[in-house]
Amino acid sequence: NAVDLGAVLEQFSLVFCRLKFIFGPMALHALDLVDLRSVLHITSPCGRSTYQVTGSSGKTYTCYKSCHYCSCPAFIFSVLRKNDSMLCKHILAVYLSQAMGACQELSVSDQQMCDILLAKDG
Amino acid sequence: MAQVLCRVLCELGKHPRGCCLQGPGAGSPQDPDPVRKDSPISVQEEPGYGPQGPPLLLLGPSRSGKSGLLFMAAVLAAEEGAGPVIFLSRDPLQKVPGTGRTARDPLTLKQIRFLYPATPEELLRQLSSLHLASPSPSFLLLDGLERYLPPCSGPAEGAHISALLLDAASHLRCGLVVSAVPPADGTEGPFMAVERYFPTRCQLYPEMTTDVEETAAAYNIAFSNYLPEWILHVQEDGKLKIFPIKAQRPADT
Ligand SMILES: [Zn+2]
Repeated sequence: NAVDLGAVLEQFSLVFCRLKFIFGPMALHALDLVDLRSVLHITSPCGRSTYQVTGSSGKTYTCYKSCHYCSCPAFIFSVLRKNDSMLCKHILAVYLSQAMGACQELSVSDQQMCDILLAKDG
Repeated sequence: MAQVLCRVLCELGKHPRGCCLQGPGAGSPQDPDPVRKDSPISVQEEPGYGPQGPPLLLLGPSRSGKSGLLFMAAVLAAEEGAGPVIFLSRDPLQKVPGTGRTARDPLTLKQIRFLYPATPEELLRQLSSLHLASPSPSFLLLDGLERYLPPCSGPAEGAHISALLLDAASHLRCGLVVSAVPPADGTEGPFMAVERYFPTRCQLYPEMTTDVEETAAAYNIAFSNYLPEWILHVQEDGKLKIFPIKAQRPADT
């Protein structure tokens, strides 16, 4: 079956409008991160997994798999302190990269996973 | 509702003399049923979680029996034999409570691994390495979260500890119960962040109206709907007794 390109584009712009409507400018920043392949899906042999996102400044932040947490300053300020956002652009980029299959994959040892989960500034 | 705590309450409620949290022999070891079929709270699985239910935050003032309740939860979880139970606390329990329930099998206590991280950093380090534990833990308990969140810390610390607890429990597919003393002055500071990670909460708050034996302090026990369902009496020696709220007397089923 031939793909109806017009329909696909229409769908895409609809999704994009919704993203922008819900998340504002954060949607654009998050899409930038997806574009740059900034989201790293890290797994270790025991099955533990987590995400690391390289921000626009080049710093890496850890986002947990099972709940909303990011080690970046915006998450602490806008999400935790001000409560005026549900998530930061890094967590949104994780969701988008997952959906688009745009995560980079990395395997580490179970021991290395401990340090990544600790999310010390890196 | 939080399954494991309900089972603890059922256990406490079914001993007419209350359950002694110190000294052996107060329970009824001949009783073969961990949970009575006619127990006053129905214990049912919630979808998406294991038999232990969703992660639970147990809030109450200091010396309101939280450690005792958590320890009983640890014993019940250990008795299931699904794997080691991790009990985290900054300070060792003052008296390792040899509950009547434990007397059933002394080996049960050996299934409980007590860890005493001294600082928030050490706690985070323990939590981030739980996937290395072998055999894999079946239950995770943290007593006294507030001791890791001094007033000078901010929501970032509260969020990091909470999120790592949830992420570890989710990876291990194990139960999680955390106890804490909520701050007296509203919700500012690290606690603001903690509560958003634990939608299922159980609250102990002082009961003023009922007659209480002189030595006991009384607390209402309310789950997330804020309607108290039980009264908990904490005696000076740490003994816990529980009463359903309507009857005001032991739930001797
Ligand atoms: Zn972030």
